[in-house]
Amino acid sequence: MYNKIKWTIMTLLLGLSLTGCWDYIGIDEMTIVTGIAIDKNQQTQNYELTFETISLMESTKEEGFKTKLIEATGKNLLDTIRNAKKRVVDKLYFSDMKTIVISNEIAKTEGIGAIINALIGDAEIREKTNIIISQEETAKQILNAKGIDNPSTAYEVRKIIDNDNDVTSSTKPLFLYEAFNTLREPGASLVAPAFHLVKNDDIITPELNGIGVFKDDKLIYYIDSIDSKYFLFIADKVNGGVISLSTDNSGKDNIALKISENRTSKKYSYNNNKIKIEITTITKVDLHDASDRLKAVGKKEIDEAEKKAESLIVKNIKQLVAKAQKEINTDIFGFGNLVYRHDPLLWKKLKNNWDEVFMEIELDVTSKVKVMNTGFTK
Amino acid sequence: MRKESMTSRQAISVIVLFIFGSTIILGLNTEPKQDSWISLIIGIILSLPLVLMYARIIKLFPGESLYNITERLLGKVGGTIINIMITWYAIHLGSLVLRNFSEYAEISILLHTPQIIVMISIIFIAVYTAKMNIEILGKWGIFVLPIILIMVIITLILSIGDYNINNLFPIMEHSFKKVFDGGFKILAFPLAETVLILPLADFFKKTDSSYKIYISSLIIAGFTLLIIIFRNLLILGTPLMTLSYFPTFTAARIIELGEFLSRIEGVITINFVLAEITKVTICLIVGAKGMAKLFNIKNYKNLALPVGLLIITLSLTQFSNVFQMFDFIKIYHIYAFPFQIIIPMIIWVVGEIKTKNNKVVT
Repeated sequence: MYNKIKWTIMTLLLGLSLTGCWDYIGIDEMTIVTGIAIDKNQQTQNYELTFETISLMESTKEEGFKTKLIEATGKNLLDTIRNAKKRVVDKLYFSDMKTIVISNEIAKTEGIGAIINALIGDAEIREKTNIIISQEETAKQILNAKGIDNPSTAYEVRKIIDNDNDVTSSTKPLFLYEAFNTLREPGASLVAPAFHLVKNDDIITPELNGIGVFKDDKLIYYIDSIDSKYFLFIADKVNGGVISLSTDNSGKDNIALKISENRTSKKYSYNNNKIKIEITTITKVDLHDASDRLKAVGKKEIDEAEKKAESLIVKNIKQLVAKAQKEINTDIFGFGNLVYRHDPLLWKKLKNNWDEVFMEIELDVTSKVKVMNTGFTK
Repeated sequence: MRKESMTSRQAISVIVLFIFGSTIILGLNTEPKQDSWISLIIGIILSLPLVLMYARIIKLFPGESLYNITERLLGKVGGTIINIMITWYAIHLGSLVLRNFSEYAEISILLHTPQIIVMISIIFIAVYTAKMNIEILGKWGIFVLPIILIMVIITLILSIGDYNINNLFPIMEHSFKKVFDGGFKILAFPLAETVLILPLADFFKKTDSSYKIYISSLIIAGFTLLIIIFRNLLILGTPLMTLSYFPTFTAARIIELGEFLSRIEGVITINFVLAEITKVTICLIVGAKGMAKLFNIKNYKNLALPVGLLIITLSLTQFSNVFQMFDFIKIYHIYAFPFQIIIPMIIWVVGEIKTKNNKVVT
């Protein structure tokens, strides 16, 4: 009996002394950050960060939550984040952050590697935070603009990217951890969604505008949202989107094909110091006839549309690769990684002059398009 | 007084938990990168003869603790030296595991809590369990192991969307020597740490097959670790898995199902706490038993608290930062070699000879 009392008292005492408040943060004591925009002042070489935060004071049940922007400058990222604390009462809390906007300037001149390394080591910042590139003058402008639906621009941007793949297939999402990996994987190439500002109903709002492609960690080129679809065809990331083409000779795109499924396989072969890449795409589409034709769609029209679509995909993929070889001069498709994954010894031989090898790559593209249905009407 | 004992099922689950210990969060040796899983399989194969040797020692002297065997086989002096070494290994391993956890807690979840608080909380449960009948530990094993396995399976299923099959390639990029070396490190940490079960052999029933206990726990643990290594590799990819201190934790952070289900890493932390407590408890019991033998104290349970305090002190003072800890893990296989291989080998060989000559009356 005495023992029992002793144990109980000890347990209670330990319960009191061991459960502490060291790591307790009440929700009213933190400022929830939803997104960061990273800029650099060219004169002072200081980072200029803009945090989009949820303002708990102003948020009401009827109107939903409101956001505020907090700015800070500093020598490096951590320093800047801490400097922001000088302006706000509560600790900045990063676990709900969804978007990191990096300015065009930083991505082009100094590269994003350092930023990614600094952010991934943080315990609060999640590995699945989206990274985007601002095509505007500063990254801040993107966060400063208001999204159409969501009060938080950062959340809006995240959702736009999330849904893009199934609806339009114009960009490839980039998560923090993927960026970290891609920079370290042999022959892989980094690609990030690019955003610019457009005017919509008199309000400036961010819009997804294709992808920015990188050489190592430096941004070198933007691919617009039309060409980026064919980039995604090569990368096997197409899950939706529309191919529009014309079947008559008017030059007007009278047919729209809605992609419902796509599978791309890539193979390479190595002969006489030359790499040959074979790309095969198999695409299932729904035919949505947007023409002013009055008769029903028959087998003939469908066959014609399939053929046209196949040649269109082949043509565009070839054009994009040719552009990468001649204009961008970089393997933006990660063909090097394909070689590395299957034949590390060959990659070891080629990696030092991979850029030259890439210029000489031969391409063989085959495409198969299958129309699965024509919507509700014939 | 009834002799304390564990059933073989209890023993198996406790040993599996012991192997999980800190491995479940620290991850296995990832130096061979995407070939790590091959290293693990090599490690399991390498550990088979070793584990058979441990089982044979128990079989030779059924129902006897290692501490009693050594004195009988090697005489007073030799036995004592080996007992001191095993006791040291148990206490040091306990302190290492404890430190692993507190470092993990400081980096990932309890950023501002002093490490000693985390350590006291864990060691308190360990001391309590050690002071109880050994059956408690056995029942704890039976109860906890399914929880951990279910959680591993849950994370496995939830993360399917994040798998990238390309991460597995190229297979065997690294030289066989490097992969084999990785296998040897996995053998030392954690598979061959099961040498510490030998001093607990007096808790096994004499009728239970020690081979069955050792081999089945090795297979269950090895298979689970294989699943874990595949999951981490498929989610994280080679660079992040190699560079992350806690790959399993990082992998769990990536799991997100839509907007509503995220922060699975809490589950992983629970896993670690449960396996961690088991490992520390076993180290504590083995350490206390060794101390009791060395100082001729009848009941080792009286020493549970002092040994627990010793573990905490050692744990706090042995490294001054996390880099030292991970540096030590890198050379751990060399340090552990005598405890895991040489000492059991000596005992086994001498034991075989002496039992054959019938010099030892069992």
